[in-house]
Amino acid sequence: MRLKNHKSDFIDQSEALSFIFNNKSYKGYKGDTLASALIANDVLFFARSFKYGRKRGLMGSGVEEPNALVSLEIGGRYTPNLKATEVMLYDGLSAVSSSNPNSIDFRALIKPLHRFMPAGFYYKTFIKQKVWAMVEDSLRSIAGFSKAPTEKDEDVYDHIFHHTEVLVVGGGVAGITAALEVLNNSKTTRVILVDERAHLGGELFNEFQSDDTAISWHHDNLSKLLEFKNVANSRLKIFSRSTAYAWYDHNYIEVLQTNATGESLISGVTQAARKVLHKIRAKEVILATGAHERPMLFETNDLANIMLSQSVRRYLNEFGVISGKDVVLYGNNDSIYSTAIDIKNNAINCKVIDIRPSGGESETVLKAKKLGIEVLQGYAVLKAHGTNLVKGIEISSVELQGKKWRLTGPSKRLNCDLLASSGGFNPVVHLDCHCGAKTFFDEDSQAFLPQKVRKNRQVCGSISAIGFWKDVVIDAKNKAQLILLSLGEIKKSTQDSMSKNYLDYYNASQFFVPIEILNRPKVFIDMQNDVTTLDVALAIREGYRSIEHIKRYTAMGFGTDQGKTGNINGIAVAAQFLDVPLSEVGTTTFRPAYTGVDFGAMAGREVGGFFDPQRYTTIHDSHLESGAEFEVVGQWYRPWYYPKSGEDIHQAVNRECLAVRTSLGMMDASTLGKIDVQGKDSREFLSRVYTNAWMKLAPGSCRYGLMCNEKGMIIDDGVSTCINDNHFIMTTTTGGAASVYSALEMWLQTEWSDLDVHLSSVTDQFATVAVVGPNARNLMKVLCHDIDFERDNFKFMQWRPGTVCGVQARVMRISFSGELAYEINIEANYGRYIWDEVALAGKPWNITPYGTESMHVLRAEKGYIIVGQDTDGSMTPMDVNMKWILAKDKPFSYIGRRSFSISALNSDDRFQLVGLLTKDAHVVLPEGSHIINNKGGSIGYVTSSYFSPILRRSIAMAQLKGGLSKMTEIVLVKIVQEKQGLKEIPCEVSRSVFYDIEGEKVDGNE
Amino acid sequence: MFLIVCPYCKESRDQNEFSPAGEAFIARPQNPEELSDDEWSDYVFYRTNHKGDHWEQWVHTNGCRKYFLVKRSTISHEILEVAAFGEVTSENPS
Amino acid sequence: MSSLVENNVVEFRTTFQPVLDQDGFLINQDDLVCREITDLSLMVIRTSKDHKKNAITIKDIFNAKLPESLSASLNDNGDNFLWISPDEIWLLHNRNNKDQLLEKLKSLPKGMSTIDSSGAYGILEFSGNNVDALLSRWMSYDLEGSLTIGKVVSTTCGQAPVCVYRNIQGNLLMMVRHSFSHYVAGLLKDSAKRI
Repeated sequence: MRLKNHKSDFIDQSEALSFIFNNKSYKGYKGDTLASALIANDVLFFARSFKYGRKRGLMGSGVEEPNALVSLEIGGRYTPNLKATEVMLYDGLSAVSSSNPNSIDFRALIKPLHRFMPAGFYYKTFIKQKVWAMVEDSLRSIAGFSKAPTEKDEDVYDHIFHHTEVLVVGGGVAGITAALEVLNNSKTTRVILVDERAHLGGELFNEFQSDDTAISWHHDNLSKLLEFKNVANSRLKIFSRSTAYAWYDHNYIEVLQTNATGESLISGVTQAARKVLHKIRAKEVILATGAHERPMLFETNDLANIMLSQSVRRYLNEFGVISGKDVVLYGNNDSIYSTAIDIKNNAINCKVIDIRPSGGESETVLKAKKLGIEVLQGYAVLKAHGTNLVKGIEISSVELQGKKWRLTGPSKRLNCDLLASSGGFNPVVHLDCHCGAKTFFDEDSQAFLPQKVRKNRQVCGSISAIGFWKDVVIDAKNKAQLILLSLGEIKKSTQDSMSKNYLDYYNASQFFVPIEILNRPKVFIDMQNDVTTLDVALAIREGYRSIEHIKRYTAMGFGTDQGKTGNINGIAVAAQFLDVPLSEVGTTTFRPAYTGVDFGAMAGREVGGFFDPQRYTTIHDSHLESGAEFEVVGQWYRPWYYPKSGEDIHQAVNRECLAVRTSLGMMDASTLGKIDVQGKDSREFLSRVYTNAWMKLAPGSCRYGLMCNEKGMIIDDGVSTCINDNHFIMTTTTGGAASVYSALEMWLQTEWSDLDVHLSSVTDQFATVAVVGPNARNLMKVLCHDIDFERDNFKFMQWRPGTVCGVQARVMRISFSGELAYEINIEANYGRYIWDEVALAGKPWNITPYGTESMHVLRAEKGYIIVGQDTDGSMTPMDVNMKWILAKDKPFSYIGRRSFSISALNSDDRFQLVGLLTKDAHVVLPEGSHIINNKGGSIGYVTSSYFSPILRRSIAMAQLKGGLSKMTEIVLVKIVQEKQGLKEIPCEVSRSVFYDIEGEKVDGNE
Repeated sequence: MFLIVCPYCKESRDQNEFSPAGEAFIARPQNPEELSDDEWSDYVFYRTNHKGDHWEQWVHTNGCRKYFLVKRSTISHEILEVAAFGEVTSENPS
Repeated sequence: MSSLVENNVVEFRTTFQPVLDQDGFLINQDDLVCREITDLSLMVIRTSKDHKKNAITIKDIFNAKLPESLSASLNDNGDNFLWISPDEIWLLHNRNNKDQLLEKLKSLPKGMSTIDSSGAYGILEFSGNNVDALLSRWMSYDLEGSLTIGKVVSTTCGQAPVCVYRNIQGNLLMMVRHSFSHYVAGLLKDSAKRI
C-alpha cells in the first residue's frame, strides 16, 4: 500500500508510470523501484524458490534481496535474473517473475517428498552418471530461474579507464564525509566517489522522519560535494547507480555503472550506452560500503511478507510504501525500535518483540515505549504461521545463559500480517577480501570485520561496526585524515574522539541459534537455494565440517544474492552444531563479482569488428574493389581469392593458378614480417639464429633461411636480403612476425648484448607487390627503366634498387611458386598506387590478381613448406627433409643445433614430411585427415591438400611416421566423404615436389 | 591486472603493456656440444617453479620493448623488486 | 603500354586517408577535434651503447639535446626528437626535408643506425577539452595525470601499440602503425559518438 501524503525527495507523484508485471498492468511513480511499486500495488508474491518451488515474497530492499528475481523486457533488451529491488521503474516496463509464483509448479506439488530431498540429495541420487543422464533434462527444465537470452544484445556498453589518488566506495554518510575531508585538505588530489544507489545518502534517509539535523546535514554536504564537482577540470568524479564489484591487484577496482534499466536507448542514429564499466586505478581506497542486515531464524521463516526490518523502514521512508497493516518487529538490537517508531508515526499498528531482557534500555527503546508501542522483552519467535503468507507467529520467553540462548516458557500465538526482523548487521567486507585480505570475528559487534591494517586502504562507517550516523561522521573524518597522511598531503593526522557509547548502536546480542530452534524443520538460512538448518546439520554429520565444504554440500550462498543475508547466519548455525566459536568457523572466500555483471558490459565495445584488430595493407581498398574474399591470418585480412562473377572458390583458384603458371599473376605480399638488421655484427647475428650460413652472402643477394628454437624445432622461415655488410632485411611469416621479433630481441638483449646489432620492425614501412609468371620480366621492363632485367644480369635470389612507376623501389627476384617472379618493395604510402599501375600495365598479358589460396596451391606443387601448417612446433629440419639447410661448420652453436643430436630427435620413427598422391586423382583429402595403420590407429596426418590445376589431379603433404623411408608405399587415409560416410582412401607416398621438379621455370622463358 | 615499474621508462605501467619471459638467471651454456643430452635438456626444459619470491624476466612489449628483471611473489603477486637487465645476477640477487 | 604508365601521376596516400571525412578530419565535434598530420615524417634512430657519443652526435648533426626517458627535445628547425627506449629515438621532421635529412644521417658514426619509418606510421593530432576523456575509453595510461607537455609515452590504445606525445601547444600527437590505423580510427570514432 502507498501511504497517503507521504513526502519523499525521490518519489515524484506528478509523474505516473505504467508497467506490466506477470501479465498484469499496474501504475507506479518516477523514483520507484519495481519492488516498491509492487508493494504499493499490494503484490505480495514475487517468485518461487529454487529447489522446493515455495512461493516467496520480498525480503529486502537492495542487492541483498534473495527472492524477488525477475526477467526484464524481451528480445534484444531481455535481461534475466534481475532483482526487483534493483530495477528502477520506467514507463512501459515489462517484467515477469523468474519463476512464476502464480502458476502451478511441479516442485510445489511434490511437497510431501521434500523431506526426502535434503542437501546432498542430487549428489547421492544421481552419482551414477546413467541415472543423471536420464533425468537431467527434465530436472533442469523445472528447476532454476530465468531462461537464457536467445537474441543478440542490442545495447552499447562503454569502458573507461580512470586514475585517481583516492577512491571512495560507498556514498552514504561515511563516504560523503571521507570524500569531502580529502578534498578540503588537498589541492590537486583526485577523488572518485562511487555509490550503488540512485541518490547519495545511503541509510541516512531513514533518519529524516525523526531527525531534522540529518536533513540539514545531507543538504549541506551534498551541496559542498557538488561545488567541487561542477567546476571545469574538476578533481571530483561522482558515479551513482555504480557498483564497485571487484578489487584486483595493486588497487585496481572495477565499477559497473547503470545508466538506464531497460528503456530503449536508441533514438534515430544515436544510441546511448546502457552501462559503463569503469576501470579505476587508485592510490588509496576508502571502503564505506556499509552493512547488510541479517534476519532472525525460526521455523517457516520463508513465508511471504517476512522481511528485513531496515528494508521495511527504507520502503516506508524513501518510497512511502508498506506491505502490511498489523506489523511485528522482531530482533536482537535497537534498530527494530527505530523501525517501529517510524511505522507508528505513520499511524500503522505495530508491536516489538525483543529477545533481550528488559532493564538498562537505550534512548531509542524508551522513546518507542513512550509512543505507546507494545514491547515484549525477553521473547523469541519460534515459528511463523500461514499458508504461503504470514498470518501470525508463535513466541516463547527466552533467556541468555552464558553465551547460549535457552527457551524458558510456554509458547503463545500472536497475529500479524507483516513480520520484520533484525538479527544484527553484516559488514560489507567483500571487496576488501577479493585480493586475499582476511576478516576477524568481533564479539562485541557480533560481526566479521575487515582486517585492521591494510596498505593504502581505510574502512569507515558501519563496515567497521559504527552505526549511529553522527559517530560515522567522526570515524570517516578520522580515516580520511589517515589517507591524507599516507598521500603526504599532511604531516600529522587529526584524530577526533568518538562519542562515549558509539558501539551501542550496532550492538547485537549473541546469535539466536538454540538447538531447539535449529532442529525444527524449515528454518531457512538461504532463501534462494532452500538451504535449512537441518541441511547444515546433515553436512556436518556426513563429515563436511569446514565452512567451505558445508557451503558446497548444501549450496548455501550459491545463488544470485551470494548469501548476503544467509551466509553469516549459516556460519553461526554451523558453529552451534560444531560447538565451536564463530571465529573458528570463519567465512567462506569472497570472490568477484560482488553483484552480477552483464557479459555485454564486460565485453564493452570489443565486439564485432573491434573484437580483434583488423589489420589491412595499404592496398586493401583495391582488393575490396576487385571483389576479393578475405582470409584472416593472425590479425591481417589477406585476399583469399578473387572470384569473378558466378565463380566459387574452386573455379577462382583454378583460374588464378593457371594464369600464374601460363602467363602472369600479381599478389599482395605486404603482410610478411620484415625486420631491419643493422650493425657490424649483423652477419654473426643471422648465423646464430638461422640454421644456414650467412657470412658470404654478397650485397645484392638474398637467401632463404630456416629458424629453429632451442628445442631444435622449426619455428619460422623467410628470405633475408643483404643490403651491405652491415645491413640486412629479414622476412618472417605473416603470423610469426611478432613472436620472432620478440625472440630475436630476447637473445640479443639477454644473451648477446656484446653484439653490435640493432633490430627494427619494418613490416609496416614497405608494401610488397609480387609480379609472378612467365611474362613477369616483360612486365617489369615496362614498369621500370633503370634496372637491367636480363636473365644473367639479374639472377634468381638477387635484388636491385630502381624506380618503378616513378617510385623508389627495391626489386627482389624471389619465388614462392617456382615461376619467374619479382617482388616490388615500396614505401607503404605508394602501395595502392603501384598495385593499380601494375594491374593496368599487365593487361596485355591478362595479369590476374591471386590470393592466399592460390599461393598455397602453387607452393605445394613445388613442395615448399608453410611453417605452422606443415610444421606444428614438433618438426626438425631433418623431419621435413631439409638437412641440406643445416650449415656444417659454423663456429657458433646456433640456436637449435645442440638439440639436433639428441637421440629422440634422430629416431627413424619420427613424423616426417612426405607427399601423398591419391590413387583416385579426383579425391582431395581434407587437411587434418589421419593416415591409419592396419589396426585403425593414426600414424600421421595430412597437413596440406589441394587440387592442382596444372597437374589436373590432387596433391597433398603429410606428416607420416618414418615417412621418408616409405617412398612409393601405399597407405590408407581415413576421411568422411560427403554423402558416403567414412572411407579409407589409398594413397601413394611420394616426394613432396610434384611439379617442375628440376626447377627450370624460375628463370622464365627468355 | 597489476602494475610494474619499467626500470627504463622509470614509470609504473599496467600489466597489459608487458609480456612475461620466463625464469631469470638461466644462462645459455657457452659450449652446448660439450654437454650431455641430460644436461642440455635440463637447460632447455627444466625450471624451478618456485613458490614464493621468484626472479623472472619481463619485457615491455608495448612500451620500450626492453627486457628486465622482476622479483615477484608467486603467492601474493606483490612486486618486490625491479632491475634493468644485468643489474642483478644470480650471484647478487636480493 | 609504356605511355599508359608514364602519363600517370605518382599517387601518395597518407595512412588515414581511407577513413577521414571530406574535410580531412577523423573526428570534428565540440571540444574534440582529431585530424591527420601529413607534413611530418618519422625516422627511427638507433643509438650506440656509448651514451656520451650519442649525445655528442645528436648535438653535432642536428643541434639538439639527446632526450631523456619519456621526454622529447626540439631543435631550431622544428624537428622533434622523441625518446622511445634506451637505444631508440624517433625523429619527427618535415616531410619535405627528407633528402636533406638523409644526407645528414649518412654521417652517423658506427654503432648507430637509422631506419626510415615514414611509411610505417600515421600521425593523428588531438585537440580540445575532451581529448583525455575520449582516449581514456581505450588507453590505460594516466593521460590526464601523467602526460605532461613534452612527454612521450609508448603504450596501447585498445589492442594496438601506439606512441603518444603532448606537444608545446598542449595538443596530443598519436603515432599509429598504418596496419592498425583502421582499427584505432574505428575505436575512437565510435567512442566519440557518446562524448
